Order: sequence, then C-alpha cells, then structure tokens
Amino acid sequence: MIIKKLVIKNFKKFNQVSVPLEFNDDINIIVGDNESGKSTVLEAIELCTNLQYRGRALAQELTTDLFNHGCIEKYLASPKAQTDLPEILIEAYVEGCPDHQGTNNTLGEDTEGFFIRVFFNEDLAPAYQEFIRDPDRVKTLPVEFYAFEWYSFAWKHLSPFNKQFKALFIDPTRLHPTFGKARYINNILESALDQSDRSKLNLNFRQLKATFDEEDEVVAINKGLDAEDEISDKNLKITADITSNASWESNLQLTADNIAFNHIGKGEQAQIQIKLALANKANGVDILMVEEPENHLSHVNLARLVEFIECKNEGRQVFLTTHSSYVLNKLSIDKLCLLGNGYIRLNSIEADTVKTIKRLPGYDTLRVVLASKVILVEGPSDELLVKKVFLDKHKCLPEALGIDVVVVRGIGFKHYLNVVKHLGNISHVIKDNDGDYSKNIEGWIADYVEYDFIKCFSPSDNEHRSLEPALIRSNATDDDTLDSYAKIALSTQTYKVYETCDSLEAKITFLENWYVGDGGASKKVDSAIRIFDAQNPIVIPTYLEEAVTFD
Amino acid sequence: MTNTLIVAGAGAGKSTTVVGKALAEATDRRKVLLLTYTEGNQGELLTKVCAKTSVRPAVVRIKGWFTFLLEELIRPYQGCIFETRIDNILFDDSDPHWNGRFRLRGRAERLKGGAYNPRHFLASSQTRAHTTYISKLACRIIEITRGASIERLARIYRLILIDEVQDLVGWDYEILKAIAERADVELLCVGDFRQTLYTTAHARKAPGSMSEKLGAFQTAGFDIQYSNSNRRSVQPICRFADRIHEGLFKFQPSRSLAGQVPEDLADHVGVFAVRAEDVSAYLERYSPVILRRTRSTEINLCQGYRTYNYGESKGMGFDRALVLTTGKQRDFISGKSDVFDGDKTDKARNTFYVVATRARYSVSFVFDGNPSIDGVSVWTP
Repeated sequence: MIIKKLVIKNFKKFNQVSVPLEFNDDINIIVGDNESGKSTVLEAIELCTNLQYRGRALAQELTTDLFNHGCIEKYLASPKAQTDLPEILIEAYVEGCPDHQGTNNTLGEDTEGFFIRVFFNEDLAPAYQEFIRDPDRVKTLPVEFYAFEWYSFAWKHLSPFNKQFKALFIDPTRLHPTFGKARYINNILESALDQSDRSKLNLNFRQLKATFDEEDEVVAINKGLDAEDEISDKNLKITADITSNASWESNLQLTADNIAFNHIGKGEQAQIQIKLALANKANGVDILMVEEPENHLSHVNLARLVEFIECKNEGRQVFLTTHSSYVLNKLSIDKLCLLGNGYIRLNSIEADTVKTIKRLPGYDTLRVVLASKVILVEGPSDELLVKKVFLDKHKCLPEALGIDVVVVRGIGFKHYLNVVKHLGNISHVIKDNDGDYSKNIEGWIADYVEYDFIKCFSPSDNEHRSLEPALIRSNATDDDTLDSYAKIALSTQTYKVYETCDSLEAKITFLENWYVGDGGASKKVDSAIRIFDAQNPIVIPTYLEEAVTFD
Repeated sequence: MTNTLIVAGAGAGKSTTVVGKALAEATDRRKVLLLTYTEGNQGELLTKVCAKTSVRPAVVRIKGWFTFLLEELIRPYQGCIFETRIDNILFDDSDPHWNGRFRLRGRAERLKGGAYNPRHFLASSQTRAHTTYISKLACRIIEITRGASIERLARIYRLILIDEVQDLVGWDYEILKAIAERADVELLCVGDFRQTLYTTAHARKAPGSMSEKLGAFQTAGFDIQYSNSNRRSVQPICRFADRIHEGLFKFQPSRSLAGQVPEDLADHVGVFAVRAEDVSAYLERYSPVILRRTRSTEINLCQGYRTYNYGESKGMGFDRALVLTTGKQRDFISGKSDVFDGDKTDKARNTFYVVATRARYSVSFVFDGNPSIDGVSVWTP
C-alpha cells in the first residue's frame, strides 16, 4: 500500500485549514525548520495506520497534546457549545487496497483510503452540559468527553485485525526504558522475522523453560523447599513461567556482540533498528517511518545507512525527517517534502541537478531550502565580505535576521537556483562578471527572469571582474584611500613592498597581481579576514551594498 | 466473461458446487465472493468451506445479500444520497411504506425539493436501511455515481457466486445486470426457482414470478444450465415432488442419485399419507423430523421431536420427514393438482415443494382419506 496524500486537521501543528500533503510513492524526505511539524506528519501517519500515538494505543494517549493549539484557543474563546468542540481528522488517501475504496472523505474523491476522527462523544452530552455550566471557568479542552472512530473510505470499521496494511515507526528515543522498550523492539523484530521463524523461536523457548524444571539442581532445591511439609499440604515448587502469554517476545532480547541492545552505542542502536526494519523478511511492512536517521551517527556510518536505505526501500514507502543535507542530497533532492508556511515538493526539479547533487552530496542544500532569504556567494572571501558589509549596515550578522549566506563552491549557482526557484525563497546571488558583464551577468540571469525573487548582484564595470579587483578599484579614488585599504587588506610584510610603488597606477597593478597565481586563494581569504576584523572602514563596492539590502 | 445460471432441483448439490468453485479459483489476485440470501445458508456455506479447508481462506468471503449491498455497494458511495452513515439493515416483515391496507404518508422516494427522502429507504433513525428498499437504494447509488460502486466491486472480486439466487427479486436483478455487464467479473448463480419462498408480495418491481426471473437471466445473457439429478432423495420422493410443478416450464423429471437405502431404514421408504389419528403412533415408530407451517402449529404434538417451520427447513436434509399439512396441500394430495394455479404468488406451491424434498428416504403427510396421487400410500400402524 502507498499513501498518496494526507489530510490533517487540528492535529498538533496542523490547523483546521491545512492543505493536503501529497507524497512520493517511494521516498519522502520531510524537511522543515524546527517546530514546523515534521514529526507531526510521521505521527499522523502512525495514528492513521496503526491507531497508535508514539507507539502507544490512541485510547491511552488521547490528551490535549494531540490537538492544535490554535483550535484549543479558539474553543476557549468561544461560547463552548457542543458544536464549538474541535475535531481531529486524519485522512490517508492510498493506493493498493481496493476494499477501502469509496467517497467517504472530505475531498469527496472516489479513491481508496481510510481516516481517523477524534470527536465529541454525544453520549456524554449531559455530562458536558454540566461541565460548561460556568463557561468562563473552562480553562482546557475537555478531552474526557471525546471518542474516536476509524473507518475506511468505504465506511467500514477498521480494526488492527482487519486492516490490510502495516506501518512501522522507527524512533530511537523510544528505546528509553520507560517507553515500553520490549514492545517497541518486538515490533521491529517481528518485521524482521517471518512467521515460521517466529513460531520456531517461541517453541524452542518454551521447551527451554520446560527443561529448566527438570534440571537436577532445580529438582533438589524444590525438594528442600518444604521438606517437612510444614508450610503447605500442597507441593510447593519453583518453576519457570511457561504460561502461554509469556512467549519469547517478552523474555528474549536482542544482543549485539553479547551486549544487550539497549546498552550498545546509540548510533549502532539506531542503525540496527532501521536496517532490521528495512530488511523486513516478514514483508509485512508497507510504510516505514524514520525520525532523523542522522542522529548519533558519524558521517561514515550515516553514508552507509543512507546507502542501505537507498537499495532496500524497494516495495515500500519510506517517510523520513532529517536535518542533514547529506541525507537529502544522497537520497535524491527531488524526494524533498518541505513543510513551512505551506507545503512544497521538489518532484519537478531538473534531472541533471538531482544527479549532480546526488553525486556530490556534501553541499549545504538544506540551508538554502530552509532559509526564507539567502545570499549565494562564490567563495569564502565573498562570504566574509558580505557578512562584514551586512554587519556594518544592519549592526548584526545575517543569521540574526533569518538570512543565510551560502557559499556555492564547486557545483556553482545553477543547481542551487534550480532548487530555490521551486521554493520561492528570496535569493540574492553575488556573482563575478569575469570581465564580461553583459554575457556573464545579464545573459546568465535571463534564465531566471520569471522568478522575481531571484536577483543577481555584480559590478557592471568589466574591469571589476571579481571581488578583489572590485574592492581595489573602488578604493582607488586617491592614494590615501587606497593606502588605508592596503594597510587593512595586506599583511605588514606585504604592505612594506606595496609602499615602494611610486604611483597610484603602480599600486593598483601591484594589488591586483598580488592575488593572481600560486597561493592566490589563501591570500584572498587572509585579506578578507583582515577586512572583516578591521575597525577602520573601507570603501564598499555598490553592488555589495545592494546585495545586503532586502526589502 | 460468460456468466452462468445453474437451475437445479432440491438435493442437486448446488451449494457444494459453488463452494467447490470458490475454493478452486480463489487466489490473492482473484478474491471470491460467495453470496446467499438467508443467514442460515451463510452458516451452511461456511460449514461446507471449513469441511474442506478447516479455516475459511481470507480470499473467499461469504456474505449475506443485504450485507453485501450495504458494505460493498451502498456505504462506499452513500455520501451522494445520505450523509449519515448507514450502520445496519432493518429486516422488514412487510413493506414499511404500508400499514396494513393503508399507505403511509411521507414515504415518497423524493422530497418536494427533489432530494432523496430518507424515509423512503431508511428507518426513522436514518442509520438503518429497510431490507425491502435496500437494493433500490443500491441501484440509485449505482445510477448517480455512474457505476462507481460496480467499478469498485470489480477491482476487488473477479468471481462472484450467488447461492439460492431464486430469492432475489425486483431491484436485485438490476444489480445482477450491472455486474453481469462487466467483462472482468464472472458471475455464477445457482438456484431452484421451485424453492422461492421469499416472493414478497409487497415487492412490486419485476421480475417477481418464476418466469419473469428466468427471462431476466436470459436477457442478461446468462448461460442457463439445467440439472435434474437429486443426490438426496430416493426416486419415489423425487417423482412426487416433480408433480407439484408439473406442466410448468421445462423442468425435467428428477433423477435420484441417492443410492442404496441403509439397512436399518429400508423398512419404510417412499411417500406416505398418515391419518391424523395415527400420527402419534407414526412419530413413535419412525421419529421423523416434523415440518410445520408456523411455530404455533400443533405445539403439543411436536413436543420432544426435532421440528422446523417450513421456511427454516430450506437447504436442510433429513432421513425421514413428517409434514403437518395445510388445506391446499391436502387438496393436492387428494387429487386436485390445479389447487395452486389460481394463486397470486408461487409461495404456497414452492413451500410444498420445499417440504416434500427434505427427506432422503421417507416423507409423510398428515392426510385423512384416500390419496389419489400415484405413489402415495396410506400408512397404517
């Protein structure tokens, strides 16, 4: 079974008017800023497919925490009539379960699916009437008066026994002892073993317990237990508990190199859980949810895990949340599902961009995706200068205003802009004109003319071919200005050489040549750092001033 | 897909045929739906399935006709007519739009504004559907959704088997036709129109009579096969039962395949008339199963014996049966073979056929006087 679309209403981060979330058939990488509702999406899927909230039955977890804050506040501000009580609705529109086809869904579509609804239980109306006798004293949503129902779109009751799909939620934090560790691990083990393996384990375990009772020493101990028949007329005995409900699941435990699973390293735990679930010998899991697989993993282990996810996801739908650009890039950036002010997928992104980013997964695509405003620059010296200019102008660094400065490095602007143009993030590109403004800037930006949130900044003077020439020439109005610039930009030693130049022209030539050739790159960065740290102002090229100005 | 109707008499093994086909052809990709009209027969079908596989395979589903209509055709798309979920069905004893001879007000199909009237189809709670109008509701939904519920059905099931198909009537046939039009679903119906007991006089839509129903199957392009073998009853019983519908349709004379009568029962085989005064002695001697018209017929007499009402006994088989007769049945035995001809419905005739065909070795009728039908002899103590 595949989830094509979710409608979530009044559940945690999602309010009454949330848009439907559409998904990819294979992998969905759910990305968003903190508190944007990434986990809520996974929880909604878990609730709707397993009737569980974070691994526990909904019946026990029906608390105000499940409700959207806004809808609770709206209720508290209302006259609190029965009809003011908010309802949670989660609808999963799916494919692969013809039994669940019907039109009983809020979009009125004739499709397969099912929904969970948490609503006011009308049987408790008299009690609720009593509860709101003094409406002003009601300070909380009375979830005690709520019930829930679980139906397919054919309006047939679903139960854990008749549902035809299985979802597994991997969340390493659930291993915490207070979280019902055994059951959580069992869920995962169950998906990793087939039916006959499970039966064999159970049988062998019960036989093992039976032989315990027959061990000579155990028999001797039992004989001595009440040898004189003083304690009871009956035959007292200590035996292994072989009641049928004490099956292997509650008594056996997973070990790695003979160490109990919950005592091995967190990273290893996370990896084993995800891989066991993905290997899925039982073949019963349709939907796999993974919360931040990068947690606790070194880069090398993350790379191995992501590789594993990539080749083993065949035949099931994967939902994962992440804060890692690496995970996003490697699993394919076109699988991105961005939660923010709205919901955007990148499924129509250019294929060559997907391929390039997949091959070179080290780039910070996620930062570009998540920043509502971004300044893209070519290299580290540009980054430093931009930050310096920004600081001078706004008296704070760009991050403080939610603006991210990203160095595009090797893969260039194009692939970043291919991502951004689908998202609508306000993007300022600072680009060298490389000596031909009309071709390299005006011609180049023409490709993005329909995206008015993408703007390019570059000196229009072809002499100002890149950052350093632009800085030098902007400060070359007279000897004094250039000297004061050179004093900041150059090391003391180099400045002494610079001082020997006898004309403004010679000084300009010296400075420009200084950055060319061997070690030029690190010279540029050194200069940029010195400019960044300097107290004295230099003349800033206009295009940089403009680039740090956001409307 | 060729759809088939097998018309076969009592004891021909109709249920066995559908169960056998269901088990043979069900696969993960080809789920099979076994439908029947009565609850009793659902249990019968399940028993037959379990006799072969111990546990009903998940790919073979058994449903009653009304449950089928509600779960598969109505509820998935009911939103186009009624918004409140129809939780259940309400078995009607009679047309819910009538109170005796008076038509109830406010039960028209449409309300003034043109919307569908819940009270036409549903009980006052609006959560239960009247069985009298449930197939009409299903048909309306098929119309409105332009066949969406049939489309859905075809995605789930490749083979649909209907046992006791003779009990379907009126609007039920619209549904049969809609399914029969699908090239990707095979329909196999089995039934015996001589055993139609639920010819509800209040169902006004055709087909209602035996001949109308057979005609409907023909029009829908079904391949109609007749079978005249009877695995249950001995030949004298078959012969007697055949007389009840003699001259109607092309029913072939039944051929008994019942085989050898067990030795301990061989002393009393065939069709008998038992005088009212001899009934107690007869019961004592042969312990037959008693078939009676209603629960209140001859209560004292039935005490201590297995007793079924006529309708209940359908689909069952016993070694010996004693029928507590009705006036018309007695008239028939006395030689008035046209006694049922003037009836408005086939019910009395068909009921007689059902009770006459329950027994394997002996069927006896409470009857005073001289039977003038060949093969019926008077039992004397």
